[in-house]
Amino acid sequence: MIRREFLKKLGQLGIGAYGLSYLRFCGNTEKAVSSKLLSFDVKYPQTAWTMGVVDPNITGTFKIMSWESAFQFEKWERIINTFFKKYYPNIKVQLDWGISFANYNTKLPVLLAGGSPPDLVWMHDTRAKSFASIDLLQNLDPFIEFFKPDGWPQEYYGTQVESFQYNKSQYGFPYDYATGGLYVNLDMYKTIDEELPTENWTFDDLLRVGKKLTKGTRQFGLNLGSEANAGYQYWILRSFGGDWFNEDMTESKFNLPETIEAYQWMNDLRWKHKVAPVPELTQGRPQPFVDGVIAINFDLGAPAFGDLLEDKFNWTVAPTPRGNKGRFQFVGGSALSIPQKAAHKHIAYELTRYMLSNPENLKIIGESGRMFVSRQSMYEYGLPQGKIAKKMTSYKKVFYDLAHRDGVVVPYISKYQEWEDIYRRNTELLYFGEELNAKKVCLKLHDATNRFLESVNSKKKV
Amino acid sequence: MLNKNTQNYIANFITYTILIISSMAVILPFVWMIFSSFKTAGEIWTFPPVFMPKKFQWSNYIDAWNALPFDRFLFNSIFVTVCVTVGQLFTCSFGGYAFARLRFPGRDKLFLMYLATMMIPFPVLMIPLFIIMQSLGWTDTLKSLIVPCLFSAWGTFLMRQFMMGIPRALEDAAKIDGCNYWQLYWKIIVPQCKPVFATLGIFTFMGTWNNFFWPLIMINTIGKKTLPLGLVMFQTRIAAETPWHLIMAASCATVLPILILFVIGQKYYVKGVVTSGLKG
Repeated sequence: MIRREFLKKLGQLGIGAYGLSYLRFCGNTEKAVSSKLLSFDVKYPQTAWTMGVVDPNITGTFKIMSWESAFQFEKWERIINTFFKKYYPNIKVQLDWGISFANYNTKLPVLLAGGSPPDLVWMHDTRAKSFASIDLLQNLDPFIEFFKPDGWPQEYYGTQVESFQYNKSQYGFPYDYATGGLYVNLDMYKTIDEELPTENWTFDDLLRVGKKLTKGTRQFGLNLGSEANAGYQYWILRSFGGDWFNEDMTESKFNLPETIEAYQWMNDLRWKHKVAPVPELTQGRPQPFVDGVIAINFDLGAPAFGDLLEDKFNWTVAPTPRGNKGRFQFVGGSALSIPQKAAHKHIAYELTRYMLSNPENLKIIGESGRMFVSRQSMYEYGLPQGKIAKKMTSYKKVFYDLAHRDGVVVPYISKYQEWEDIYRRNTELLYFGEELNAKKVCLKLHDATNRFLESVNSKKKV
Repeated sequence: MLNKNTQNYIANFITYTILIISSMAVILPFVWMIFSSFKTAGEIWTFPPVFMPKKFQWSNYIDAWNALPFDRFLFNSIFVTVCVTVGQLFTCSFGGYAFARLRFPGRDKLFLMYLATMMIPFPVLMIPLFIIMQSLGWTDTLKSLIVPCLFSAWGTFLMRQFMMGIPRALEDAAKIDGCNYWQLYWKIIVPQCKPVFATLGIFTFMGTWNNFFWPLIMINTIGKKTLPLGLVMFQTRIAAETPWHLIMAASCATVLPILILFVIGQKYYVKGVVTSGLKG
């Protein structure tokens, strides 16, 4: 073959391949449009867990994506397999799990934007509104209305239900209830003549004890909230009467004296009173409480610490304090959501309902996951068991009863990640001690937040 | 005044000290990984960090291996890496040969355009590439990890530059003897290009072996995951719950085959890097 002919053939092959791929794109677009339509025609026998809308003998692949790790996904897999074996035996289930949280949040947007999402996805409260606002998640209201889960919504945690709402519609079915509390090193604590913190303690009480517990740079009294997670600081500023945004999320409230006071209090712990560790001491030390450097540490109620501590010292849990504007406690969690372009939405909803409202399944999830599951009546399965339970005698009171009473939903606005970047860039100045005056930082953040909200809301109007 | 021997001795001492310290900085994380693979979950988090475990937990290796199909991950990684490396050597050498030796209209402009693709960051290409894979029905297949990686502008550039240095007289003589283009490529050019093949092979092998991001997007089922994806399957959302001791054990076990391969092929690796003037 002469060179000219060879190049001509090559060119033809290229055009052919391009044409073929174009035709395939057309096919996909059609499928995406039809998948938006929802139908609730009951054509098949209904069961307690299926609507009768989908043929039980349907074939195909049902895709699920989760951030749960190797040891955590086991319980979910057991329930998922039982569901499909019983109700849709010809469906092949494709489980994509063991993706770390950060990687999950990279992969999911690509799959959603690429138009080929899984049928059911794990969703975090920090992301739900962002995805819902750009129409990437399915509104669950029609499903809930047609096939109401047992006890919905009154038996589910109000804060969790609210966290997964956008424009008053439900976009995620909450599966857990993560709350914040204080972990106390009792060996350090017994050296001071003080009672353990209670829910009636004020922030001043905590500071007073923190000072007593601090010993130079060897031991720090307090470690409240991580700078890496803005949500972990929100309960503190609400206790002071401050806030991030106004009620309809159109204006910043970083200029409120109460907001400024809260950030000043948090910053003074580190730089003025020196009762909290400075960044150099906590960086590269992921668990300072476990290392025995912190006397009172804020963290979530997952009793994972128990495994790490291995009886290094005596410890227990205690409630977070109240501010002069009331007591607010951090609550958060995750949910299951159905992508807008999922191929099997009805089955996805049925499976979600089966996993998260069926007491038998919630028992399995709670016991093996060591977390409070979606229904309040099943709380006991989320309580620590055995040896670790003895260390945390007030676990239920701290992480369940008080959270239930005082839990506050963090306002995770749509495009929260973008805003959190702005937040972090500014508050880092306080964290690293480059600026000691919280007012200056808060006012700067106030302007930046207002600009951000304005741009988000103007796009919404368009 | 120091005599020559003493001067040499001091110079050697300084050189070796610097080299040993630099080597330590590179080796230490590996040694740390090995010792951590024998620790308990609690020991991993201890501060100040302890180097040696109190008691060697050999069971970490068994637990890690039983928890996930690492043999499958290893096979997938080897399969993908070998296919991509061999494939890239072919496509890049073909491309390089065409750009270096063949004369056709728009050759240099085409080459510049091809080179310009190196300037586009991968995240920009990710979604279009994902859609192409999806439209071909290749998502969640090893094909999706192999085919898009078979072509490399950087590799083609490397090949072209090297091939441009081969004397034309060799080709002319072969043409007179009746060689066609394929024979010219295979019998004349390829034997001259062994060093650049080694270089490209090594860098492609390493890049593909460590590739994480693209497989993360494309692969959904456990049986098709590669080693880098498999290793992060232990990670949990709450850092304290991540079994780092098992991750370390799995990392040690899976790094072994590639380490053996490196020891065997070390000569070629060094030669390849030195020949191309590239630093590893």
